[in-house]
Amino acid sequence: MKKTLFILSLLFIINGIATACTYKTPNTKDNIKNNSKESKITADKIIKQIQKDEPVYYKDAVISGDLDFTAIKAENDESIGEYRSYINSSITFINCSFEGKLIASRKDTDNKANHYVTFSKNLTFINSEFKAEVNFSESNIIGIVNFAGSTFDEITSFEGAVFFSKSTFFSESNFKKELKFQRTVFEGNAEFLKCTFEGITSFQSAVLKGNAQFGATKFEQYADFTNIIVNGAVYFNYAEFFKQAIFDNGTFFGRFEFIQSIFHYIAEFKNNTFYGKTKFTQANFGGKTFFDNSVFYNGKPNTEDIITTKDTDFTLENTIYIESQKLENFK
Amino acid sequence: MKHLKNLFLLLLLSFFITLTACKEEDQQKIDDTLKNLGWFGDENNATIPNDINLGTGTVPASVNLLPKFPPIGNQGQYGTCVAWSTGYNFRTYLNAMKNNLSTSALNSTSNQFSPIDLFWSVPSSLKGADCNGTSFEAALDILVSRGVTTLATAPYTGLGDCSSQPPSSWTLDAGNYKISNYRDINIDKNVIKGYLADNRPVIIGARLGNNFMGWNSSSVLTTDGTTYNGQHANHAMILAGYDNNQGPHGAFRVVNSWGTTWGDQGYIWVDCDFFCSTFCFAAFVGADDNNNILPDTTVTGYDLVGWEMVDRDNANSGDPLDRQCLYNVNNIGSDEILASKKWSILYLYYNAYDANDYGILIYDYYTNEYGSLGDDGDLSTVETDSSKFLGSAGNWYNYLNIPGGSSVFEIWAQNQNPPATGTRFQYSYSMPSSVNGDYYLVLIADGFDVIPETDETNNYVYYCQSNGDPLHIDNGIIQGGYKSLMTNMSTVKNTSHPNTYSTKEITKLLMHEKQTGGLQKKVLNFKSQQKNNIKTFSNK
Repeated sequence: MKKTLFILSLLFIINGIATACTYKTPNTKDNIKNNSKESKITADKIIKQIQKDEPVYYKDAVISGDLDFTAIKAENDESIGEYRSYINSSITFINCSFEGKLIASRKDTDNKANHYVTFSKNLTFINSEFKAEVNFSESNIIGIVNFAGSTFDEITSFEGAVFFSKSTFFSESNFKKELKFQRTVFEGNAEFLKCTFEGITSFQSAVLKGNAQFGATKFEQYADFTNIIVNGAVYFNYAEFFKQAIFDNGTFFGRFEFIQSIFHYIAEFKNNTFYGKTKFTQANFGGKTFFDNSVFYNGKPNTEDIITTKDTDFTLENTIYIESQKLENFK
Repeated sequence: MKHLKNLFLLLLLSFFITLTACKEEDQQKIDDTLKNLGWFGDENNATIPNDINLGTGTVPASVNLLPKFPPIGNQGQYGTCVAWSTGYNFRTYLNAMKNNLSTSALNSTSNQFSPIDLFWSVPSSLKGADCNGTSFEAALDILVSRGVTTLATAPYTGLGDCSSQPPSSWTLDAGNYKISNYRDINIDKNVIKGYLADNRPVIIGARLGNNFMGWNSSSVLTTDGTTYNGQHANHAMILAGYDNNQGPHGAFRVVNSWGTTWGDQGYIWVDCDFFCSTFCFAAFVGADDNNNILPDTTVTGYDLVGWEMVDRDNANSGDPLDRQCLYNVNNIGSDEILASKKWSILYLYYNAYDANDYGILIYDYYTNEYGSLGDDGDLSTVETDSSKFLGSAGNWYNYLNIPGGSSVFEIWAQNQNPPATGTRFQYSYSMPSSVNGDYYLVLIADGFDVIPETDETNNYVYYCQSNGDPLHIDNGIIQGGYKSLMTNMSTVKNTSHPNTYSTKEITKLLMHEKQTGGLQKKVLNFKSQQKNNIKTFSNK
């Protein structure tokens, strides 16, 4: 009995300490309101908040100066010449405008060291505008990522970044210049619904472990999806490609849908492995379209009512369709 | 209980020791992996001459040099990629161009050059143990000084640990296949395209990540993870073309040496922007005897010779930048060289490792444009167009015809009133204080190669160290106590300096710069340093 009482008391004390500790870093509405009242914020002020591990929350604000997350001191080098800063604050901006660069990745001027950032909590920039370059190359983001409804005026890079949350949101964003998602790893779903990609866009060698939602998107320049792996479903329904759409060398484990998509120019689907059902129903092919050396494990793609033009030319050299009956034979 | 505690501490200690040992072992494995592909990745570019950039201007939308390349090679598990890129691919290409070999001829090992011969020839001190790599400088130096034999003579088998020396029969044959030079070039997509458009493949050192290593596609590589040690490896390859319509920014055609099952049947397209920003860390071009040589025109009765030259401190000035150059030039040909030919004697400096860093100090111009026969003087007193002043430290005109068998000083002296005595000109000049580094100073008779001569090689007189090494200059002041030095070296390219700039490369640079206005721009930059320099005569 005495022993039980002792354990209960100990648990009570531990719980009390834990509660007290939690209370030290509040993220209350009062804080949020105070921050929101400021319309023009300097990037330096935000960095100071992060240095103190305070939550960052701004709404309807203009952020001046370069917001350099690599300014947070890295504890030590994680590899030779590689430094990584850890940000423990939650980062939230709503309806904000960033006048300077967003820097979460940089090389030293002598190219001898690289600096990267890990965001331990959420990284949210809803309906925001980025007037200068945005660079999150090689960033790790543990919390939720939300850039929905944002506009990126200059070159934007998430090259080699890892998004750990179950969903990553870029829906209805507008990327006006070159966009890099090469080698990016999405541990959950990637949401790019209704995005406009005005510059060259590359997802080469990206790994998407959930669904890839690119419905109703517009790609105005070269779109590179070569070498990607998608574990979930891929949706490009109603998407429109104005220049080359390159989907070569990919591995797609789930559904692969381009229903009513429009390809104005060359579309390449070469050397792919499609394990799920593929649909190009009512898609519009305006140029040469290649499916060479691709393997469809779930039968021929649905190509009902596709639209072609005089320039449409399908190439299907060494394309292999394995019907479900044949799969049965493997058992 | 105490025993248990001790046991626990012992286990903890042994775990820690094992962990530490594993870490060291892992690092060693990483280092081995890095070298295993074969390029050390740490070129000493400071002593490799930069190529003289002649700016080829516009280039076509695509270039494909593959028809003059051998089939894709396979280095196997050995770290011999440098020998494959420079020996097998590059040397074979040069030979194929020289002899216009067909694709079928290039399938023959007698027309392919041997990576084993080249790799074995690299001194042990310059390569890793067990065939674990080398540098471009080491391999290319071998190609310049020794050459490489063919695969028919030296098949790529039985490499052992690569510590063997090539047999003398291989070395004897290799002497037939030297290259004349190799040059460091800027990693800039327009520069590289210019070389490829000029039919010059580009040898490259790259940093590879997993994306490249596992590539199996004809798509364009635009990204790779090379950030972490252990994640990347240094590798030598060669560029055989480009296509502006491949990928989002155009792409370079890279030739690898991993057999045909890798990449796009052994090749890969690499995005031009990615190539220059992230992928490539070293780039070189080279030439055999057929390149970088001024075409000799028909044999004539003209032959100018840089006769002698002394460069010394100017005793009349306390400024260490002020110097004097004493020189003469002879026409040892049979025919008179008329002033109407508009030829010139130049005295210039150029950086021993980057000749794009050069400047003309003295411009001694023989012309009929000013005054009458026998006149001479400071060019600025008769010429208002400052773009014609090519010497930063002095410009002189001479209305003189130089008969065969006469020297320019002799004819000049005869035309003075009263006739001058002495044996050579003495020109006071000032070295620009912006000159810093290792330089050669050279007097060139017929600097812009206007006169078609019987022998073009005797136009040069170098001012350098007695062993042919360049002079070290700090802020325009020549270091090492060379107060006065007379030299008659007509070239500094010799067995001690096999890869230094040839005289023909320097002349080619000057002609190009004169044509494109680069010379005039340089002079204008130095104009603020110009002093009143006087050409007189000297019998010393």
